[in-house]
Amino acid sequence: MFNLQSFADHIVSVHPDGTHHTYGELAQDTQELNGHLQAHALVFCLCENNYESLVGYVAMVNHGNVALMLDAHIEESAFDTLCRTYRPPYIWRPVNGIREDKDGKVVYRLGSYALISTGEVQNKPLPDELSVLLTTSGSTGSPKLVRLSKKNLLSNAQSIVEYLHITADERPITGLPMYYSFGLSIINSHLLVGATLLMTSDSYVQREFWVFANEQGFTSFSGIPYTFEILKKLRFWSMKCPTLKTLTQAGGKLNNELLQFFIENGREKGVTFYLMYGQTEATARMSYLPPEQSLSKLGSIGKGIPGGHFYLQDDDGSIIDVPNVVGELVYEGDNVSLGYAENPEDLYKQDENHGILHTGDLAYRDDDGFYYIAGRKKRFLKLFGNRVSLDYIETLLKAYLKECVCVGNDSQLIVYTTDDEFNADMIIDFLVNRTKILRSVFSVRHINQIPRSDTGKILYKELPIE
Amino acid sequence: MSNTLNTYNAVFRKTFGLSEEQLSQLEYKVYPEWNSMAHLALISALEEELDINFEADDIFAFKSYDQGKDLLHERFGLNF
Repeated sequence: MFNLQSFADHIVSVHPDGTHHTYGELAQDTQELNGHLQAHALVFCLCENNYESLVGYVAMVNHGNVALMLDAHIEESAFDTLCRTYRPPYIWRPVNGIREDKDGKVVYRLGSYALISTGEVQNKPLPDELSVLLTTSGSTGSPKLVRLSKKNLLSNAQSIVEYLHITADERPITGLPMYYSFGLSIINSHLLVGATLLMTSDSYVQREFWVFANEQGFTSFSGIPYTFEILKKLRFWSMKCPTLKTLTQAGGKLNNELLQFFIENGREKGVTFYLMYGQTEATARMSYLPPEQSLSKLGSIGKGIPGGHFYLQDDDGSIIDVPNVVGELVYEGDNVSLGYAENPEDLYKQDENHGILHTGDLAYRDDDGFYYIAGRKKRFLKLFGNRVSLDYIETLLKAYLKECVCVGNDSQLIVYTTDDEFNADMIIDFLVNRTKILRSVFSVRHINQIPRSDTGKILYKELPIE
Repeated sequence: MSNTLNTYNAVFRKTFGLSEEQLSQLEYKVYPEWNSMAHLALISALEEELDINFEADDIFAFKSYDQGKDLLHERFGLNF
């Protein structure tokens, strides 16, 4: 997938400790790692924004392994559940925290990372086209994974290169994690053209992050809506970032006021703001709003990326071809994933989507063909850039609670329960621990009875979100 | 206990779901739940409850429960 040798003397990554690596070195390090990996085997790749993580990912993708990308700080029980479910022969992870008795034997080391052979055997090689597995809802530990092919990764990266005009001169700083589809798409699109990644594990609420960014002449920064709220608080536009050219935002809806704030300030400072829309199920990105129209079409998710397009479907599945009518947003393109996996057998499944993704979002199209999100069809919230399934959270809770129903919007999740045995703090502790989502998002309300219709269907509308 | 300390503690307790006794050792990034998202939630709540406005430098400099008190004293003259 990545032709590293054609940029052998370019610098691929720079790090806060002053080290850097060339594409040539990356090629060498990935080759060495590959020597210890059986092709078409599953590898759990525990990610941090560092060189070793990058080596692991590139090695697996180039060598035909299947990489499940996970947060290196994933909660232990969630990690164990995934291990038990998928039984990976290998784990690529930080040396720090290895449980020799439980994880397996270290067979190779590079810097702060080690390759572990778990002793599991892959009886049947995984399908040739399968390349990367991503979790569906961030770090909530759900074993449901999105299956991505080489074609998915490559077509999405190429398309991103085209619409963002990415060249080898770009120097993006990693504000997002590699195990998150948006973060990974930044890595993919920049490796494709021989650009330089500024990789730091610091967060953008730390001074060190911005010192590093400016010392290394960062040219772009990407974030989810929450990131831009923080940037505003940090008085981002009074910081001196003379080399910055591009800001990109995806991962949920940024309110129009903040959008306008970033677009207008950007224009004054010569920084282009790109609003984008995507889902892990489509590798990462599906549409972008061309910056020339970002104010005249404020609030729109734009139009399909090069090589992809949208259409709208009504409840009967027929295509809506008139403007300003709401229907389900459907995307068609080479970046639509192969499907989901919920157990090891599913990894052998064929392409189930055939390039068509029903996004679960409700949208309409204006007279000029620009799309606007109007709501959500399925019971999903988008919290901090991650899609969170309310049904999945209910399943988690039902291990403890006799009866509960979750409702919410993109800033809060409310648990309604009839179970008096557990108080709100206990329930919230459990959710924070399992999902790694900010505590203030959750609230619990005890009620006497879950409202149901005559046929026993839960009446969600009678459970207030306010 | 001063009112300021009461409010300060209440914001920490609410953000992290902890009891009074658990607050003193809290440190950004060391305590797992105090990540960048929680940091902003904490800063926003402190601004609102204590009626202050953080500058970017204050947000960067705020690193722990204990040191935060000194910072608020120095920057905003709050007494704990």
